Amino acid sequence: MTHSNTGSRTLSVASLARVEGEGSMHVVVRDGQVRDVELRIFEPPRFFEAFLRGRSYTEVPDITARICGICPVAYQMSACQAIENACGVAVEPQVRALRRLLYCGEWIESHALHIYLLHAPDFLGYQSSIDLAKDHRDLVERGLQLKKVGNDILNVLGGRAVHPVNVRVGGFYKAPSDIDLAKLAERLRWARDAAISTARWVATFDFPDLTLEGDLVALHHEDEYAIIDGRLASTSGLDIAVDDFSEHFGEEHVAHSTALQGRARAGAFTVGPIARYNLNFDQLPAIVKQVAADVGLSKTCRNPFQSIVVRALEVVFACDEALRIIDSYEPPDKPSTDMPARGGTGHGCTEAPRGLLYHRYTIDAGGVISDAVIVPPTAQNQPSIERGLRRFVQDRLHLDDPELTRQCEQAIRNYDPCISCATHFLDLTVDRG
Amino acid sequence: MIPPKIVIGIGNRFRRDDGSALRVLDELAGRIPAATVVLESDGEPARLIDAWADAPIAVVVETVRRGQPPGSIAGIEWDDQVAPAAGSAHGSHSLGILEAIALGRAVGRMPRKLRIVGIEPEDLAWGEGLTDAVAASIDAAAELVVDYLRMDGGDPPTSI
Repeated sequence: MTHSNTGSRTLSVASLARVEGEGSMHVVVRDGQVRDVELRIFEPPRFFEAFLRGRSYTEVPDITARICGICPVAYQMSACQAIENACGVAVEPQVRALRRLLYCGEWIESHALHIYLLHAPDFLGYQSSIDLAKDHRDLVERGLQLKKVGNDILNVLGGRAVHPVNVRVGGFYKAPSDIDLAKLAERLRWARDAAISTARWVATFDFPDLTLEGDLVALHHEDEYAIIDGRLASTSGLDIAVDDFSEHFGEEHVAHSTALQGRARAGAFTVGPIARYNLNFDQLPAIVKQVAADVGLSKTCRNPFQSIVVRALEVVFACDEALRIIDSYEPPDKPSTDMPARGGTGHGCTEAPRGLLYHRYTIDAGGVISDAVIVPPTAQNQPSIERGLRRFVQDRLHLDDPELTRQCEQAIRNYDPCISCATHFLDLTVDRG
Repeated sequence: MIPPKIVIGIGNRFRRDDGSALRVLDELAGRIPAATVVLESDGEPARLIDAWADAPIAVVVETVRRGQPPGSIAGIEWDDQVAPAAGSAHGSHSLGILEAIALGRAVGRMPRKLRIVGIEPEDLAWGEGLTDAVAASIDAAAELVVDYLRMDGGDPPTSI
């Protein structure tokens, strides 16, 4: 903590740990009122969108997988869907099922990482997962094993866990064998039980009072908990095709950030697990609904601190869904559908672990990308994070700076911001007048 | 069964010199025993722990900022109790190698020997290709990896 010559009080930490990537948060307090909260994002200059222009449409899944080490599948899936949309070709049902299985792996891995290594330490009063592991090694080991099951799915279907190489426009280079999937199923049965135990554990945490206001936006599918396709829905009644995303949602520059922030025509909104849970609870399988009931979470949840419970429930779902897909798996006739280039624009939207991820590509008749737009979930959530933190800080101004900083960090982690998708460098500054 | 030796390269080929470790992996083809596992990583700690747990020796190649001229190579031998002083060596992946070591130790999932080959970057901006100084150091970094792999993975690390 420092005291400046102007009498303002500034608190800062070197970095906001346990957030994927880096960025900064600045809070200004004057006369007992929170005047401003800014999430400062120093985004690479839309490197990948520019980099993709002039590339072949077949290269896009491999290139976009490099945007994020935590959610490469999300980038690949949204990219494939957009390009296939532009080409006017749909993949076979079995390929779609394998994509959904691959995505379940990413949800398991990403959520287990966030729950056990990033967020649970906040609730239990530990500085980090390392300190948590020193006192509760068995818990952290369970988290690591759970995460590894997700990793295993990525290895089997994606060829490797980091930047999967088996994904292509139209499907996969190689479909998995029955034997490979049987081995996964064995691990997934353990993982589903471990995920249920995880949900019961995190539901016992103390959750500060906070209500997530505004619209919640997610993909919605009538027949299943939406991951890789569906229509765009919101709690205020939005119901549009993915192709219409740009008409309702956009990004805009703000003075304090070089990144673009998400904006909806109807105002600030939130994407992510809580949005999915509220919009798609009815599509969850019975086992997940039962666990939700057991831990006391109703079908409506607006407390962002309980996002850790929702993530745990989504891990139960992802394990259960992966098992369902494996049980009904029949190898596709071909691992991929032929996807000849066709000039046009295509849209793709999938549910990354952190929320809605939109891609749009314009391709010429020769298959060369002439325009690319990628809207990651963290960019969409930035205004919502700022708005939520503003209220949160206002109610906690009586706290000293270290405790206020700690609680702000915890609140930011509710959104599991994957800032590496959009930025580097995150540190938190509270400036009190 | 004794787990194989492993070489892990941490980096991103689309962030200029951050891709140096992955270029080192490319250079290792044909220079190390075929049984050696070679793995690209983004530095995420849990995956690192999974990859190196119980290996007789793990060599991690990583972009490391130590304030040295670009392309400088640092060999860090963790099991010799040579822990870097705070602030003396920062990987470009802030939630990466150092946290992975601490977490791996806390849950007892470390390699028996751990070596880090650090390459000093010049440019970590988004873009392709290494700077000249870093590109010139790739062969020497690969040779250091080869040297480390020749060491037998005997004693478990005592302190890091």
